[in-house]
Amino acid sequence: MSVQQAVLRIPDVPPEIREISIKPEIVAAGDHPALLVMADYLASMGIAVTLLHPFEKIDEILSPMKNLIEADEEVAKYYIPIGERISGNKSIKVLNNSRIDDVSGWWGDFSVNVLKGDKEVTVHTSGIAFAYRGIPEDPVAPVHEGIVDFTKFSSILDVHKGSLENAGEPISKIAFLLDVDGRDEKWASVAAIRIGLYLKRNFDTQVFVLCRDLKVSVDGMEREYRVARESGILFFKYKGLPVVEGNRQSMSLRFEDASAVSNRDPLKVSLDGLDTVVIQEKFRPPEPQMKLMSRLGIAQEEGFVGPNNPQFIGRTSKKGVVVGGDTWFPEYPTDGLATALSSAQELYKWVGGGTYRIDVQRVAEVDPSKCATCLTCFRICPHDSIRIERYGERNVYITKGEKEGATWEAARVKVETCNGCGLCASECPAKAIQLVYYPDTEVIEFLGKNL
Amino acid sequence: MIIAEQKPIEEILEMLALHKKILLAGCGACVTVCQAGGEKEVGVLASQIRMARKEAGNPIEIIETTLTRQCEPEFMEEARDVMNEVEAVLSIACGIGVQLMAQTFYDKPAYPGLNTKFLGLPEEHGVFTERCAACGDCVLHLTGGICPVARCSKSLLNGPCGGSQNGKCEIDPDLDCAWQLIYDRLKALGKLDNLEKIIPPKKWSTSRDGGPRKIVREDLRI
Amino acid sequence: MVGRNPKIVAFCCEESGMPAYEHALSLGLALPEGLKIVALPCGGKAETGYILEALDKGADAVMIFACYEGNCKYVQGNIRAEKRVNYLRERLGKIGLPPDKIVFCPVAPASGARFAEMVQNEVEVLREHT
Repeated sequence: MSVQQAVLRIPDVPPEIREISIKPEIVAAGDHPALLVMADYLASMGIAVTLLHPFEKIDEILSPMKNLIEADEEVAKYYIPIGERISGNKSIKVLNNSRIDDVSGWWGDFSVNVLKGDKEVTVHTSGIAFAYRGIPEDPVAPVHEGIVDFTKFSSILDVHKGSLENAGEPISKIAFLLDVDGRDEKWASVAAIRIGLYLKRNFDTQVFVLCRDLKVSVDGMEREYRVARESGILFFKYKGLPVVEGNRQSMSLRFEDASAVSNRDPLKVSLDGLDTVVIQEKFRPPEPQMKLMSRLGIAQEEGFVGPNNPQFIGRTSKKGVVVGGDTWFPEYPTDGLATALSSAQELYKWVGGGTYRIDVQRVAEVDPSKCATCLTCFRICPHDSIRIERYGERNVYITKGEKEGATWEAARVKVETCNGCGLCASECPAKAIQLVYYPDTEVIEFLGKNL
Repeated sequence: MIIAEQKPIEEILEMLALHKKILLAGCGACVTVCQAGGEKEVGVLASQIRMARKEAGNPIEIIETTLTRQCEPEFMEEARDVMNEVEAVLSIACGIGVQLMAQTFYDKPAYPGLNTKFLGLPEEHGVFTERCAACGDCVLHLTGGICPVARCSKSLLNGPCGGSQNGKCEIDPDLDCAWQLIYDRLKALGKLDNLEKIIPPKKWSTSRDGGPRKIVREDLRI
Repeated sequence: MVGRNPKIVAFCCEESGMPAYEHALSLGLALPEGLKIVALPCGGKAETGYILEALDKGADAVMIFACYEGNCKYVQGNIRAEKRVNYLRERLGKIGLPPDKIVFCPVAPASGARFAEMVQNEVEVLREHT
């Protein structure tokens, strides 16, 4: 026989609606091709876009994809028109030679300080999209041209016509070495499998892929992985650190196979006669990205928004700010495209609607008479939705029981961007914050009645 | 600000052993900010004491309150009524507050729930470090804004002891060598020649060593 | 002292704990008689004050059901909750309270079976307390 438990549900408080108007405009900044994708989508949906990039001409944003565009019709069909559409679109204002110097504010009310050349311009906007290129770092110093990273190898691949060569030497036996410094980056598994399959099918190259853990949780990759194995590409999982030996003409890759049954009898493997070893580089976040993330108070994982929290693919913890390109997380270009489009759609949701109705009950509220301005809530808020008004805007606000003209002088929650999670309320050492729709008294009363 | 830390619970329970009804008084200033004695902490400590005394079969009644500050006589009035109902007050303000409690409510014992540790600031949220020793004779203008009294383990005034390793103090390797920090800062300011000026032996009489201190401002007196 | 039906207060976050509880109900799984449920927008809202109030008012244990690490909709609510649980365990340990009276339970939304299992497990643990 089952008994119904006593349950306290989150109170269903009738909403108190406040309407705010959001102007349909955004600032898009960065140096990654995904930026164009986002700007193009948003402009096509009627949003006024100010597009900032650091180059002389906007076409230069596509330079990392230049080879891919020349080599692949599908990629060209997608990307070339974007560049043209953006240049011809009157609702996109392109600022060349520009970068974001500083940014502050919130959804509907951002202030972006732009440096165009050496001129300063302040742009006021409703939402922000940014997309930067990660900076590749090689885990090992390249000893000779037979050892390359993916960036270099892709550039070889993208321009080849006919046979496949690296600096004059034919490529016939190649190994991809992933995860050397332990970073979980899917793009490398995806690239190794796709490039490996391409090489196998077109040049009958002997291909080996070494990793600690193969990551195939990307659309279609499970199948491609199976096809790759069936085609004769050999996949190994290694333990410890593999070692590359030998000279430009013939290298050996020695490692310990992780599939050995017993630790006492390690399976030592040596792949000999390799002419090319591709070692996965790691991407680190560029300076402008780090600065923006920090100024906007955006939750990050080592300088990137992803990859781990499924709540933040493209969108960020700050309402009205989305990211694409490597800023979300280094991705294989075509996967990055999907993320960029989803980010753009997310941003459209927040700037394309005209008038928004906010329920100002479903938020937290500070009692300024109890606030010690200790900054705990300011630091803990995951959505950067609390300001200390003493040091910020000096609005005139009538506090409880105070006379006209008194200033707030305490922490203050921005109701437009507050998500009502209650972290501030639970951390406040002065018990100065309550969730308007779910104050402490509800919980205390329930516990008193039911225990 | 003043940084304090809660006393071990055993000490607190011992202080309260003979009492059956007390006031637990928090403070809305420094100890709220360093998360040792604000309203939230009052609730936590009160629960902890109640639970311990219930377990021991000797329940205690605790009235909880938090004063605006425990270092102003006027704010003591916030507790006047309730102090009539209790046997004693456990104050989780800094040592100043405990003393003002004792002085204001002369006939009731005032117990300290905290150890007042130092004057400092948060290095990061939740990590508090000492910055000022209240020596009464500040030399920060000579040392690039870094205090050799509070931050050097030996309170040396004229340069490093020479025992530091990789910028860390030889006495406490978790501490940065204050004189390394001073050197770096003076170098960044282009004022390394400050190091050539000798700071004379410190007048410790202006600090705690000179006895209890007092400042009288005739211009402010009402 | 605990008795056959220990009183357990389960603070459940809206994103994972509550769906897991509701899933357990829909699967018709047996849940202990002394279980009380408090829904919260996030595990991080399970305040120190709430946990202590529950124990003070007679709960034998408090469980906080929140999202797995890296999955919190509010980024770090689950981490705050776990830190709080560890802190309280240490603090209450000093007055003789056993650590298993306060438990942090990461759970996925559609895992009613896991929810029921964890709660039943806590009942067993409590019954062993003399």
